[in-house]
Amino acid sequence: MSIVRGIVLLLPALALLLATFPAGQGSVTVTANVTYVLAGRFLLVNNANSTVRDFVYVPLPQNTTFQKSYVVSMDPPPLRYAVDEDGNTYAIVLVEADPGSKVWLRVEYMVSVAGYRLESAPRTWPPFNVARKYTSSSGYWNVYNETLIDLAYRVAYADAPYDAAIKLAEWVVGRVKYRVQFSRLGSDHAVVHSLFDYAIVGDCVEVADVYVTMARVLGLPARTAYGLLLSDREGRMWLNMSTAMEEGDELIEHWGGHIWPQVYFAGIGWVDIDMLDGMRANVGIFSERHIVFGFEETKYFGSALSSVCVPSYLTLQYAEYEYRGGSP
Amino acid sequence: MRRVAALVLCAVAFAALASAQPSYWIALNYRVTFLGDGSALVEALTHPFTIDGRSLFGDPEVEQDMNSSIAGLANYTLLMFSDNPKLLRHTSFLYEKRLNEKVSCDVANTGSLFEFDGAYVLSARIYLNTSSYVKPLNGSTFEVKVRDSFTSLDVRSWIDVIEFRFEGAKLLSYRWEPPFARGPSDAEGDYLLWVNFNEPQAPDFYVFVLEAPGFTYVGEPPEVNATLTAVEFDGTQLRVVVANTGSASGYAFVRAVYGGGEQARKVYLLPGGSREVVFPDVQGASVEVELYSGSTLLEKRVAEPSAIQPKPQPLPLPYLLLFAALLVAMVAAFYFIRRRRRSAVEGVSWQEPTL
Repeated sequence: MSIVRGIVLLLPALALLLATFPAGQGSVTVTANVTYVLAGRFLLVNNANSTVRDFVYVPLPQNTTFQKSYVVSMDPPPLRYAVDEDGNTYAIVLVEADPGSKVWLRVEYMVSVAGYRLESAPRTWPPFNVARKYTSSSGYWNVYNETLIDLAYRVAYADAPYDAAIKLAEWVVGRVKYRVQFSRLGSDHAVVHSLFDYAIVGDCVEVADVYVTMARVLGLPARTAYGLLLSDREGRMWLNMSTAMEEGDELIEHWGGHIWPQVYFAGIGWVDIDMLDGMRANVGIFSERHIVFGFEETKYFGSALSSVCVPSYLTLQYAEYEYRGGSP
Repeated sequence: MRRVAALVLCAVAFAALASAQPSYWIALNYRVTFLGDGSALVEALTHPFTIDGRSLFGDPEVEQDMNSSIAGLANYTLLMFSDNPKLLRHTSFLYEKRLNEKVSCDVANTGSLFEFDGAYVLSARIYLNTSSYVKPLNGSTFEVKVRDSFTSLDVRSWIDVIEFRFEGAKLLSYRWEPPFARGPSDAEGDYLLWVNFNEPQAPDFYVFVLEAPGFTYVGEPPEVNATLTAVEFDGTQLRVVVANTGSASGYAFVRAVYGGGEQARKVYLLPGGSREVVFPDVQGASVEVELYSGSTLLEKRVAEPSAIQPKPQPLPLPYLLLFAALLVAMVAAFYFIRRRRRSAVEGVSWQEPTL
């Protein structure tokens, strides 16, 4: 009898404890782990009438919380590894080419990638210095565009940062009119008004630029991550520069160059939002098929390193990646 | 040096447009003169050429193409002094063709400098006291960073030659970043010259400590005049209302500082408009609320928790189910105790029902 009475007395206290249990700051669960062997080759052509000694800049898979990368080989070997203003590591390779000649640059990387899922909704806004740095205006992210300001506040203004991020992702993904674009429009020119509603016209670059701009308008620190989105654990992707424009949208059948937004949540860090992976508002739902080659944070006109390989005097004619993924 | 046709960027297919545009290179020289009033006169000297080293100065098609990109060059010039060119004060840019200037660069990376006659020159005076790259040190002494904004944009581009002159401003010290880049090829008391044969040699930043008698640090000017019209704090949630009292629209930051933590939100304000800003998770005995625009602190207030009871947080679904189960258990237990007590009073033994 006394035990039952004790339980009865404890129950309200337990219920009260549960009712006031604070919601967590947000945790992350790893959903998959894959280690890829990624082999790339890039064909460079000297179209000049003189011999050229050219510095070629090669972006590398980065090391992040969810990605660990190793350079297995590079031919010709790199002169130096360097880091740009946004903290991205890249290699500088010296290539010498006679007039009209073609040179192959070959790379091999080993990349361990973790897919993850954000388990709860962060409610804390970032510190002042983070908010200032990652919400500023730039050439492709014009946070003073009044149409985008008005839209951002109407569709995604919220008390908690996670709520703003997900509302914005839902709005953006519902308005994508996908079209491969061969120049970067910037968010100013990517949002167009049709008969009934706004549309985001362009490819992954425009979608990412619009998201980042509108997130920054709302005070959410935002940036882009660029790299590859693999279609499977094993495969090959290629890009022929001389036929790419004719191919148009068909290009994505065989090429996986990609860029997507990230948002910073206090207490967690940078969280990926790849809405084009499955056309969903994937706030903190990130597949292990992404390989990150870098981030655009503060550069006013984005980063040329989002290319696969950046020659100066030579011309990149063809790029190819082969990848094979397995359990780590 | 800039490769003009390569300024097209796309994450999907990057250099595909190259053949559609005139492919030429631009020799890029800068002359920066630091003045005693804390401003800097900046001149960008450019000269177009082919990869074989043939000058395209005066070529009508190239000239037209370069004229159409003056705004871009002006923007890069401002970006040498600030992350936020919109808030950097400067005079109007002047663009002219000067026949008596020389522009140098290492054509086709051969290791020797070639000098071209004639330059397209873009110039303006920049007020460093509004630069985000200036750090005030002591009175009229300050550190200024000059960024190679071309290499920042595109790893293939860099400033071939840059000279710094100090007229009225006294150079106290200088350095460059990254340290493995080359230092100046000519350094006198009031003159520094960097000759960068290629991009890896070229510094990303040139950093100077200067003393300029007329320098008064201002920082980034405020975008709006704003005030806090309401501040409510209940111990867990902070609610603030910010009103724009001026005639310009722009951004302000609300910063909440509390025991061991801080948070900030950026808000856009229309003229005469106001915005409610909520921080749903602020834990502290009191909170200091600061309102900024540009580098200026517009207002500061301290908020104590009001008498309002903290709102309970919405429960996640598993907790709700458990809570419901506990309530059912409580009711059942209460009913069970009452039955036992009544049975005892009536003197009837209670039995399990049988079939």
